[in-house]
Amino acid sequence: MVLPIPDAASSRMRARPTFLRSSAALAGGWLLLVAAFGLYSAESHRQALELDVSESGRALQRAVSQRVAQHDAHLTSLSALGLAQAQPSEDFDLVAKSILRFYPRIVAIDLIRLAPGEGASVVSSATSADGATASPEEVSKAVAALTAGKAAYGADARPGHYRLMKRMNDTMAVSLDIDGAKLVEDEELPRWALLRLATGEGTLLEMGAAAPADTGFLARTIRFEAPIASATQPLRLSLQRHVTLAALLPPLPLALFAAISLAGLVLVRSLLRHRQEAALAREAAEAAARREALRQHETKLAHALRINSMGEMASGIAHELTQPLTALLSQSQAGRRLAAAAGLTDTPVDGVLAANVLQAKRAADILVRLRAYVGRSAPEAGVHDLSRHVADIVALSRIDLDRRGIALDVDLPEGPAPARIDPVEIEQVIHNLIRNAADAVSETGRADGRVRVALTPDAAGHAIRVFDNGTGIAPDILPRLFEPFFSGKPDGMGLGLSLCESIVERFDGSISAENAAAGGAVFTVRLPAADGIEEREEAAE
Amino acid sequence: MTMAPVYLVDDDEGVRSALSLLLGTYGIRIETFGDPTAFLARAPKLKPGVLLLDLRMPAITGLQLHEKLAAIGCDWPTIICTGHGDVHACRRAFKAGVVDFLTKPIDEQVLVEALQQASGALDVHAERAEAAKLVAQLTEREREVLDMVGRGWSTKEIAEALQLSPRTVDTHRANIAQKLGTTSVAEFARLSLIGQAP
Repeated sequence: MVLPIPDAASSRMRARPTFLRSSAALAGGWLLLVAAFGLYSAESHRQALELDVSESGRALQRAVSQRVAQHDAHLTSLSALGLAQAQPSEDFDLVAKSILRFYPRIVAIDLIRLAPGEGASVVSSATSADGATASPEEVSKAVAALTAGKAAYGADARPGHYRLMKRMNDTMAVSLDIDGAKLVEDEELPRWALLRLATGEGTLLEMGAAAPADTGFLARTIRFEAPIASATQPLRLSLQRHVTLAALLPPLPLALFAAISLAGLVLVRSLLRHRQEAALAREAAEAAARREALRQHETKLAHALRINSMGEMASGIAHELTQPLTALLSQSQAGRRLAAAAGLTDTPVDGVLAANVLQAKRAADILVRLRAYVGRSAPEAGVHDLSRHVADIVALSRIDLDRRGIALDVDLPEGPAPARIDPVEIEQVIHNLIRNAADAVSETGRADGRVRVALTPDAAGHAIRVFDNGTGIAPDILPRLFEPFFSGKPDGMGLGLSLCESIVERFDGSISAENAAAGGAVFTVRLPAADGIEEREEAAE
Repeated sequence: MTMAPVYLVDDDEGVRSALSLLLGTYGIRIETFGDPTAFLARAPKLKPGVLLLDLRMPAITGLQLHEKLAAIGCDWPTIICTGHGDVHACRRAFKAGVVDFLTKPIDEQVLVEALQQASGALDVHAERAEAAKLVAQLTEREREVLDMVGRGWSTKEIAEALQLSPRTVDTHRANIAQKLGTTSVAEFARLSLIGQAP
């Protein structure tokens, strides 16, 4: 039965986690979890949408770039045709018309003659069925400003239209009128997309889904932007997608996740709570068991003390009475011999002395019976580990000394210290010595009261020393310290140390007291060492 | 037989004076001491006697006193008396070489008999010490011769065993007789026996 120090247990109990103990903490944890899920979900949706927008945008940019490049090719062949036939010819018209038919985005083709000094004139003009061409004068004016041999972009007044022009020489030029809106076919544009084509000067055209007037909470726009690959037509393509919260954060999965996570958290909490309660209950039960063990130990010790004190008292009384009785008997016997020598045999004086002898012997017999009764309980000596029992009794005494504010230190050897003892009796001795030491310390009233118990090997076996920093022992008291009925305390019976001596001597040990050089008293109990430990102690207790 | 002196050490004045009175009526010389430590200091100067020691005394027990006295050469017969007649203390006392263990109050007859026996033991003790002293005067060869004489060997037998001439053996015997102060072969045997005992 090893008694741990009770404080260690309660501090361990306090260290339990309080995770998810309150409902507020649970709700907070749940909200955090849902928010984290929401953020993750929105972010992954956004990334998917961005990819979608950029892929669509890139596809459109490729398609528009190809179409715009075709315009350059048309312009080149048309300008060659225009040069070869300085006069208006049917060939040019034929080619122009077929181009217009195959490429509906080119709505008009003009061949222009520039006469130096006078205004330009449109030589030939092909216009698609629905195309309304710009005024020839405007076109001519723009062409006249161009450098020869170079194709150039020209703005157009009509929305979505622009021109691609080329001046072949001083006198000839070609102009294409292009409807930008037809660069992209309807089915190529995703439903969600807002497409914008722009030049350096501003927006050329916008088509597709219109941006909503109210962008809404947390709504945002995903945008793709890239230049159209063309040297002659400086266009930029941008594709936008308007994204609402609902698109980023689909409500159904979120709600599902929220419900499942809430249920999970509640379950985890109840499990934790259950485990925590079980652990607390177990700790409480352990603490109760320890207290009970300690109490039992105390009871056992108190019982032994009562029995032993009674024995010590009887034995003390016997010893005290024996001395005068010895004197009485011997004196009476001497008296009878003296009377006989004086010839007083069979006189009343001799009779009185004879009666005294008889009564003294009778009293002695009573003492013998008393001692026999007291000494009936033979000690239960076995080989035990002194170290363990010193530790036990120190743990037990610590409760009392803690309450009195006295420090209690203990030095024990590493290994076991086997001795032939009755553990309860020897514990009683140490308990007595510790209590005496604590009383001596209390008497001084000092705040740094300290009692130290040390078990060390000794020449004869083991030495248990109990040190205190109390007043020490007065020199006149020192030699009588272990006498029965002699007490240094005002309310003491004078049996404690006498009992200690009796017990220690019963196990072939000795006890002594002295004043320490540093002040205070030292009590030393010496016990012979035994060979090994017979473990026949109450292990199952 | 004359009684050896008795030295009583007991811290109780009443016991000391009563026992002193009682033993006085028997004509036994008795000296009493109340303080064991003081007795320990005096003992070496005293004539060898019987020790009557109380078991329970302040500062030192009768058994411890007995051991300390033995350690300083006063290994005289010791009787322990005690008010605690417990078996345990008794066993320890006999283990420590005490000749008797008496329970207080002590009846006169028991006490006187115990003292007489102890006194006898002291005589034997003294006799042995005396013999040992005499035997110690002999040379190694003389001791061999004494041993053989004690066993009843004749001069001739001894001379053969030790490969000496009978004359030399006779010279040894004369020297031995002179040193031991006796010519009796029986006395030779006794001294040889007790004088060389360990």
